[in-house]
Amino acid sequence: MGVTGTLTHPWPTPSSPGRPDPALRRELATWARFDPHPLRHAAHGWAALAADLDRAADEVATRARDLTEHWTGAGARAAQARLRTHVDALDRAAPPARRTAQLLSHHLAGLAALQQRARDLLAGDPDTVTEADCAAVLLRLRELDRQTAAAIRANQPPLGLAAPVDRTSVAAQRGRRPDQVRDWWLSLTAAQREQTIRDHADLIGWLDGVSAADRDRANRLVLARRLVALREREADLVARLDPLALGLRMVLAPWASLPATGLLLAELAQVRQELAGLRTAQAQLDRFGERALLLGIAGGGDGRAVIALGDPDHARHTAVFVPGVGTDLADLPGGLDHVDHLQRAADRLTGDPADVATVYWLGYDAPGATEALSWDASRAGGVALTAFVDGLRATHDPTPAHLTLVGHSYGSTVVAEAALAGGLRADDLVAAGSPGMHTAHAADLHLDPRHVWGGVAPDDRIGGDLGSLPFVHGEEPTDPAFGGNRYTVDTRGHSGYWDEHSTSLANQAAIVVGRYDLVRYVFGAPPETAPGLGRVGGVLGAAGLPSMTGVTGMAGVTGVTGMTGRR
Amino acid sequence: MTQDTSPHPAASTDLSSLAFGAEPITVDPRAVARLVDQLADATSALGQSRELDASPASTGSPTGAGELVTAALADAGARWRVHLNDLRDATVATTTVLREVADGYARAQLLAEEEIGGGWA
Repeated sequence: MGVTGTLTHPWPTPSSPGRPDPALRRELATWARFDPHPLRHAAHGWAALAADLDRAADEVATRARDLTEHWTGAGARAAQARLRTHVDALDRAAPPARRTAQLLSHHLAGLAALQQRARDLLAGDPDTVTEADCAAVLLRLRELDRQTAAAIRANQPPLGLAAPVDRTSVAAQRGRRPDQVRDWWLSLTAAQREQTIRDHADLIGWLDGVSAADRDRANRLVLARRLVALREREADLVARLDPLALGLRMVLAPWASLPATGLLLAELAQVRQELAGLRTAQAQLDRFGERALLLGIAGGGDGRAVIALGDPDHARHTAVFVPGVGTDLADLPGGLDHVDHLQRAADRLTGDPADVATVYWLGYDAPGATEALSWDASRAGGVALTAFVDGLRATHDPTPAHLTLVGHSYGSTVVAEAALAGGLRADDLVAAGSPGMHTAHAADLHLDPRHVWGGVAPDDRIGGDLGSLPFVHGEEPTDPAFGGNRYTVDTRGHSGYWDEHSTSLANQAAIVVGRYDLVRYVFGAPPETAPGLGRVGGVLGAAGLPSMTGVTGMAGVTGVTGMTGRR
Repeated sequence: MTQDTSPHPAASTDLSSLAFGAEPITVDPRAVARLVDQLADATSALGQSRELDASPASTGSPTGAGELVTAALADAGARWRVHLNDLRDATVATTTVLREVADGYARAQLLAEEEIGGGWA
């Protein structure tokens, strides 16, 4: 495959001499390590699809022919004509699928050769391997990637028979209740849902009322596309900030070059920050594999992300974890550790390994340290959190669902604001290291106070000191006067509440699965454990807990045709 | 409706040859129903290939290598699922109609047997 096409490569041209730039070597090493197995797997998949289409066409043609032996007349002729259209459509579909498989096979062959060349260069004598050698291989790798991608895109079948859903229709759903959104989503054909996910992924990804599996697919598309766009923009900016290009601009337009350079540098920093955040998100999705569902992603500013471990549309118990001050995408690994530990600990208390889902909800703009005393972010976050919870209720399968909100630090004020407004459809509220819940009384949270839980470590400065300041975030939920339950904490510091094998974690896990009898508490009046909670086949609906309202949802009936309930 | 006096030679039952208007019709409803089921089976698995679903997502690389092909595969997978769903749905729609037709013929034959008897053929 030749090296042609537009190059936005920031590196020197292949004719440049000298030792390779370390960054260039790093990227070359990345390509050298790139695992081609998934692509090979994909090639087999496309080839199998082509064969399936061929077989289907043959099968329909054979049955149509057999039909003539058992049925004649005008109706039979009409049926034959209709069946011929199916055979033709299947016949037409097979070649593009086969070409995609072939494209990937060619790609793999070219990739293998270039990867070997890259490995040779990286293993070679640094004094003899030139920058030009490395740049040439890198350019060819990028060009191979670009050409194969373009060929795959050019080889797609036309959109099917369903009328496409336009952007205005999707955008109009954002102001509607999640149960209305769910009904709209279910009213679309499977083909329309697929098209909508593909064409309006950025809207669908955050749309409460769309099933978790479909949101996950939309958000993964958003993430992949954004990463590509940012990488291309980064390369473009680096090229424009090349010393040679800058020098030329200084000569041609000195009065304008300095401000322009400043803008470029600022944008480059912004692009790289977003890239770093989204790459962290991608790495976490890779880390958790099929356990993870991406329910929301945005890279701008501090970034937002909502990631579920387990499927909240089918889990009997779901916990939504709301993080606190200063949280951004860089904090995802630690935050997901918390929900991972919580899910595992809670799941151990039930008989079914798929019984518990935990959700890391960074669906609000967490304030920085200087804004930590303000209630603004709590209020805005509370509104979004309520809608998200409504969405979970709307998309859950018809079985009852027990839902717990876990607020950490400032996150507990977000939970509090959602609850104080009324209409928050949660069964239990848990605060950890809370500076206060914007009220003096648990009863104000529109929930039986026996289902309000607080815990704080003795050396937690946030829950202890800041929470004691009057007129800041209200009464701490761990104060006896608050009126809730205080669970035992045996961990240290402000972020240790989810340490594995700790009592702090075990207590929260027990609350999440409704096993209140297992919670160790300092004081309070825990509710009775519902009959059957924590056991397979338990009767959650008979628990007498009025807010355990599993609403007949879409899970199990959506998850677009051809997909499993899970991603 | 008039009596068909020249039954189709392939008819497998003595009531399988009917005439509507001027054109003679021959039909074996049970054979048609069986073939319709096979038709539905022919396309029911299209687009449900696990490999096709898994492949675009699993090629994701946070390091940048191969991102364009990864994204193109993801888009291609989504677009193809739409197309395959349409192919399958179209076949299902046809088989649904044909099944109703076969049922209709079967009911007509039953009625003919009960009300008119073997003399119909």
